[in-house]
Amino acid sequence: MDYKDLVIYMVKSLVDHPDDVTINEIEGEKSTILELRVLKDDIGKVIGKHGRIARAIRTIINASATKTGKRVVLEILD
Amino acid sequence: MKVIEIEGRTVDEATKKALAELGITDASKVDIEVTDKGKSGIFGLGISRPAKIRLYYNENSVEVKVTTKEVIENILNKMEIIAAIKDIKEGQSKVYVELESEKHSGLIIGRKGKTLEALQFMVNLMVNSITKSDKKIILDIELYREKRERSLRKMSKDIAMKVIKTGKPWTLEPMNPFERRLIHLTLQNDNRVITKSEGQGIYRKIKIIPSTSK
Repeated sequence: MDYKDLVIYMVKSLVDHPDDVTINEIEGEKSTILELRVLKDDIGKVIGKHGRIARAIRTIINASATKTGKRVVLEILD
Repeated sequence: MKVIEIEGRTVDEATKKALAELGITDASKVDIEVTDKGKSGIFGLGISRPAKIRLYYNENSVEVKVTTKEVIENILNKMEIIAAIKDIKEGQSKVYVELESEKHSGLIIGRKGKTLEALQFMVNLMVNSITKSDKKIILDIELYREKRERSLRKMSKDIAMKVIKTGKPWTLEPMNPFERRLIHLTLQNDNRVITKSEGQGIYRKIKIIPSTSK
């Protein structure tokens, strides 16, 4: 399962500067941490009002993670 | 407005071919001008000439539907979920997409429809940001929304009965605006109870109050 690819695909079509979207994947035994970095101007487009967009992205990641039984954590950094 | 020219054996055939090529199902959204009615040779003899039509269409109506399809397929594919688009219809302000999945429909819906809600939200954002349109995309799978509506209606009526019997208000679990609206509408004609929304954002929930206690 390539969570990185999934998140990058979704995020790139939302932001104004898709070339500046990067993700660092830290894989642990039971969980995977995804560190998403976007330009400062774009951060609102990834988080959304009251974190609505971030929450939707996390829900989608977790739905695909249930099959593997792994926990996937998405962190948004700037 | 954009134009394409298409040839076919008959005018009808050329029209069908053009619509299929553009991915438009609603023929009323395009203007068709017949430039040549064509001529069919009798018994294969004589000279036959193909029919020619010119089709004027709105660029947006093509893009939104095609992009919606692409975005949904890409996301599901990357989620490694096996599902297909069963039907996709485009109206004036809405695009209705019905999915089907043999194995993963539960996964696509999620607990209380959370995942379906998140998918719909993301697809709306992505398609609208790509095409710059503001059409609302509605995602459904195996008539989930219809079933959910029915069960919400029944549940709210059952609880209203309980509230009337006991005379004590009852607070429902948090719901999204669409679901809350449905419950308000279901109970608005029952003058024995009053419905109110409480709380903020995702925690907003409905309270069913007996109309006698104010």
